[in-house]
Order: sequence, then structure tokens, then C-alpha cells
Amino acid sequence: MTECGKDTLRDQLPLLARDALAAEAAARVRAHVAGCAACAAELAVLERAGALFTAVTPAVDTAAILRALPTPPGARPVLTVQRGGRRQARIPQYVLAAAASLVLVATLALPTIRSVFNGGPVVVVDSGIPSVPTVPVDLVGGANLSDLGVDELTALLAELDRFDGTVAVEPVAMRQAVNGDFGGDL
Amino acid sequence: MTLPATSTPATDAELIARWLSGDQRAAGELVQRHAGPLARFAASLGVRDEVDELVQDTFVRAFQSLDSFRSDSALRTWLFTILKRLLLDRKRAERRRRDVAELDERDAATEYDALDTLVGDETAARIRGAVNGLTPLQREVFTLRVNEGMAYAEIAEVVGSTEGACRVHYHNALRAIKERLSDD
Repeated sequence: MTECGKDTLRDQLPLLARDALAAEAAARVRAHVAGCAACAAELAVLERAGALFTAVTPAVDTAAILRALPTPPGARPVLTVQRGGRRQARIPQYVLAAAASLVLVATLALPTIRSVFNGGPVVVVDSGIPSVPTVPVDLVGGANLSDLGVDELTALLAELDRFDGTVAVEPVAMRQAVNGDFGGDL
Repeated sequence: MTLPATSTPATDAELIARWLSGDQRAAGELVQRHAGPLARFAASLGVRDEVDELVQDTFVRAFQSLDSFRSDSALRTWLFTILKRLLLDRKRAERRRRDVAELDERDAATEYDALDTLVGDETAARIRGAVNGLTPLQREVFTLRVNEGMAYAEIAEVVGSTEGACRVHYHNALRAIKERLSDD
């Protein structure tokens, strides 16, 4: 059996026809083809067929392909993937907004609470929320919360609850009111 | 004495890694490298007017799931497989539209007339006739071997067959073409 009969060189013919063999391998196959009529005929067919296929292939618009491709993952923000393939939960935007509002309300309410504990004037801000019956709470003279009765604590909590909604006044006006400057229109 | 600078082209795996990390230019290199062979494969399977679109769809499909591509298989093989699936999907959809039941080999053979456009020389015309006479599977194996120089194992992956079967299909195709040429 000849070498080409064992397909060792014959298998290289398509690569030789496409000029895709390294120089050394190409020379070895060409040397064989020069002395083998069967492989020479086969190589001629392969070269013709390859040229034929190339001739009927239209040019491809690679720029259009690139435009159609998706953006690389590394070029856009990605969600962190935890081990085990679970995605980290994203905090919804409305929750963030609610949390920010809560912080703002708490900040605005702080001077009022201090005022209550220091015996200063209690500022009632018209926030549009229905008012609740108030019980005078007197913490003057160093009294603390433990000195208050149930009714007084309930009244105090009710007062604080009034600030859970959206504040209807500007922070500056609120500050002036707390500091005793009632020059503004409250 | 200074040695000339040599630059080895980046491998497909390296280009994929670069693209995944945000380098859009890597996509350009991959497209330049594989668009031509894909178009040649599509044309050799009988696609005429839609080669451009088919190749583009192949790349888009591939890049959409490139992060899940396992590099133990060659990118080229994967791309050819995607193109072939897309082509089969299109043919099936076309057949449904035409209310024709099944995709059989005779249908595929009659569609293979892309080479009709070439009337260059007599030998080319005879080869065209010979290739047209192949079964679709023989034609796929033959074109992948002749056009791309693919190994039989790689061809087997694309056409969904075995390495041994592909070797047989190739040699049968070659023999049929030779006989056809000697008959003319």
C-alpha cells in the first residue's frame, strides 16, 4: 500500500489546494503529488472546486455585521452574580425614594422633638394631615420620658406621627419657626 | 543584530476574552476572520440573495451567547453549526409558508443552483454539474473539506454526523465528481 493509499498525504490535499499548509508540509505533499497521478488529479479537482465556490460567494458587509452586534458585556454595567449563579437583588427605585423621604422627615422633626423635651414652644406645622387631640406634655425641669403617664406618652407619639407624611413647609421656614422667628407665613 | 518583530495573530479564544471584557475591536477581528468562510459555506449550500443577512444573523446569534461559549470546541465549528441551523430554520419556515410538508433531499438538491451563475469555463461548468449531483450531506462535507480544509472531526460536528461517516461522504463525493468529469 502506498503512502497516499493510507490517506496520510491524501488528507492534506484540500489544505494544499487552499494554500493552507506550512511550507515544509506543502513541499512534502507536492513532492508526492508530482509522482502520483491519482493525487495530482484529485488536487486539480479540489483546486477547481475551491475556485468555483469562491467565485460564487458574494462579498460580505462586515461593517453592517459589526453594527448589528450586541454591546460587549464588559462595556456596560452588569449585575453582580453571586456564587451559585443567583443574582443579587436590586433595590427598587421607589423603595429608595421612600427611604429618602423618611430620612428627610425625621431630620425636620428632630428640632421639634428637642423643643418638646426642652420645654420650648411646640410648633404645630400644618401639614395637611388631620390633627389629633393633644394632651399638654410638660417635661420642664429635667423630667424624662419615664416620668410620663400613658396618656402623655400616647399624646407625644400622636404628635410625632403627624410628621410621617410629606412636610408642607420649606425647611427654612420650619427652622425659623422652631427658633422662635415667626416672621414668615406659616 | 536585531531580529524582525513578529506578531502572532490573536487566537479566537483570546479575542473572545477581550470582547467579553469590553473590547469592541476584538469583535471586528473575529468578524473579519470568519465572515468570508461562513459566506462561502452559505453560498455552497445554495443560498443566493440572503448570504449577507444569514452571515450577519449567525454572528449576532453567536455574540449574544458568547459568554456561554465553551472553548473546548472551535469557534469556527460553532459558527458553522449556527449558520446551518439558521438556514434549516429558514427553509422550514419557507416550506411552511409554501404549505409543503417536509424538507427532503430532493428539495435541497434542486435549490442548489448558486453555482449556475458561474459560466466561466467548461471545467468549472462540469464541476458545477457534478457538485449539483451530490446529496446534500455529501455536498456539505465536500465543501467544508475543500473550502475550509476542516478536519473530519470538525466537519462531523457541523453536519451532525460521525468522523468516519464524514470521511466516507467526502470520498464518495470526490469519486462521484471524478466519474462525472470523466463521463462528460
